[in-house]
Amino acid sequence: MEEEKLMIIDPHVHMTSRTTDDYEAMAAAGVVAVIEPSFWLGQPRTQVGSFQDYFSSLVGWEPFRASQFGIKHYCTIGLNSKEANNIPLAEEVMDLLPLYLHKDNVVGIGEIGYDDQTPAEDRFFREQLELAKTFNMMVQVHTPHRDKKAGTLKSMEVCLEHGLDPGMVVIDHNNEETVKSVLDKGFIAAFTIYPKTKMGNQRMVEVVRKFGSTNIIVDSSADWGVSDPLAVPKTANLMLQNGIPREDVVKTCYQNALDFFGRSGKMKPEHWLTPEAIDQRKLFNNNSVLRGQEPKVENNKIL
Amino acid sequence: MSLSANRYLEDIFLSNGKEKQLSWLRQQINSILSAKSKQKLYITYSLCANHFNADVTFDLVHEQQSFTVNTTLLEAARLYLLQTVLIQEPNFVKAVQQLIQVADKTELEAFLKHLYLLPNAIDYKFAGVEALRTNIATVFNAISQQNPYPGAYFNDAEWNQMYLKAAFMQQDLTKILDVDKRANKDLTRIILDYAHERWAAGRTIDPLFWRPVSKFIDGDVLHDLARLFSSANIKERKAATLVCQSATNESAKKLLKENNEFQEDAISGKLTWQNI
Ligand SMILES: [Zn+2]
Repeated sequence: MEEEKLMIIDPHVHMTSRTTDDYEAMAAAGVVAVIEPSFWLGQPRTQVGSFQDYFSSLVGWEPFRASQFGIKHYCTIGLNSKEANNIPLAEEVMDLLPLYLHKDNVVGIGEIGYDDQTPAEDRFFREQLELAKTFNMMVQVHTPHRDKKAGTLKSMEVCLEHGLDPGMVVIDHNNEETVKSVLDKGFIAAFTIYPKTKMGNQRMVEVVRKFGSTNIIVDSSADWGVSDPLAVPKTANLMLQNGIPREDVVKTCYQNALDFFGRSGKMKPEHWLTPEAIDQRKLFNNNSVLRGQEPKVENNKIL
Repeated sequence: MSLSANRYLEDIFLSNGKEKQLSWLRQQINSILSAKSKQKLYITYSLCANHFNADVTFDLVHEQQSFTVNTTLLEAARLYLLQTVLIQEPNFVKAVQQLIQVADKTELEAFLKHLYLLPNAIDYKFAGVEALRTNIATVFNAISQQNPYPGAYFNDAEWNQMYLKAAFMQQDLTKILDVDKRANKDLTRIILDYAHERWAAGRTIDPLFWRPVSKFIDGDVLHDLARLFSSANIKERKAATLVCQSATNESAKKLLKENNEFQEDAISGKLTWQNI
């Protein structure tokens, strides 16, 4: 008998940059919920209003769009490290952030951290850690791609210096070189599976074989660049094929993310276990995801 | 908006056992005002959700305006915060406008319900008028029902747009305040056009919709009133009675004499727009 299909959570994916085909494919592959961290859009923003509308879209339009494909959407709100370097703009964004933290689908502050490890990045990383403490919220930390090991260590030191509970902080974009120190210090270690380069999913299988499944999370970080929104379900399947126990696959590709972000009180399994039926006739501010297609209407009501 | 309304809210917090939360809020307000910090204001606004329940509701009664609005403790706390800060530091108006811009549906409904109670309430007219463009009934009703804001601050075009849209969305027109006060000639024309359109399509209209035409009766209106008096729908006959009863136009009075089925009830006050 075939085992029940795995439920998947992708706790780091920039759906704003993805298509409805991606949403459909993700739902078909078992993705039930996603977390979209605020990040850099490729084109640097020059006005605080651009951030405001972006954040508003993460708590408004994008959850609606996801719901139209049966996926529950959450987000983390923050000032990304790259744009922290525009100091006058960053200061305005810092004023704005608290207004979003209490919204229904905001499960943490993120993704924040270091890119080039400049003094401005350091300043706004620390200010946002203080904000996380004020709101008692989870933090999603982006670690730099260049000088990764030192940047990861520094991120953790600064979190501890500000008195954050490492169990409230997920350190993202780990590799074999960084994972041990992250787990040893009590932080949650997330791994981004990149197609072709960096962390491939065969390597992820070996990481789980070696380090187990406690406090380890797999994500796709899919965005507007070459990336794969199916990275988590594909990795889950590869783990199963390679003899990783199902229990460890469930933990790294679903349960650990839920346990961590669920501490916000806003992310709950009943959101996808007993969902509202998909009704593509629904509108958001009078807008639909459809372009003249037949709406998909799922009737799960028992008559 | 006065400080006494502010004390009224304090009493509500105290009677709900929120002494500690109120003193937290007061401390926050002091630090917002001494730092003149928009970020501190926003942090406090957000954190109110951790200190005040969103599921405890009560009827907030406004002293002079004789209107009540169903409010949660959380909404009241945020109202108290904004009132107090704006009274002491009117320069926070831009920060509050931005707060309304990023409000989600529930927050927006709360803002709209309480808009009248903010100091210099006219500063938020854009948000009030913008809410007329929504298709979300709860948001539209937050500004249009049991709310003195439109009557006090909307111009005729805005008020008429609200009234017509409420009828169009088939909302309860008895809940709109100041209907008699804000009646105007242009609205009478809009009501007639809308009624004729509906009738031509073989559809009915809410009898309450006719209320604003009383003071603007001419030949066209009389023609439609006669039609209402001969309607099989008792509510339409009652509506025609009330329109003619409060009209000063002689022909309308004459029409009422000829159709006096409910005239006595209207005179005695037994028949009103609220109980039609
Ligand atoms: Zn990212």
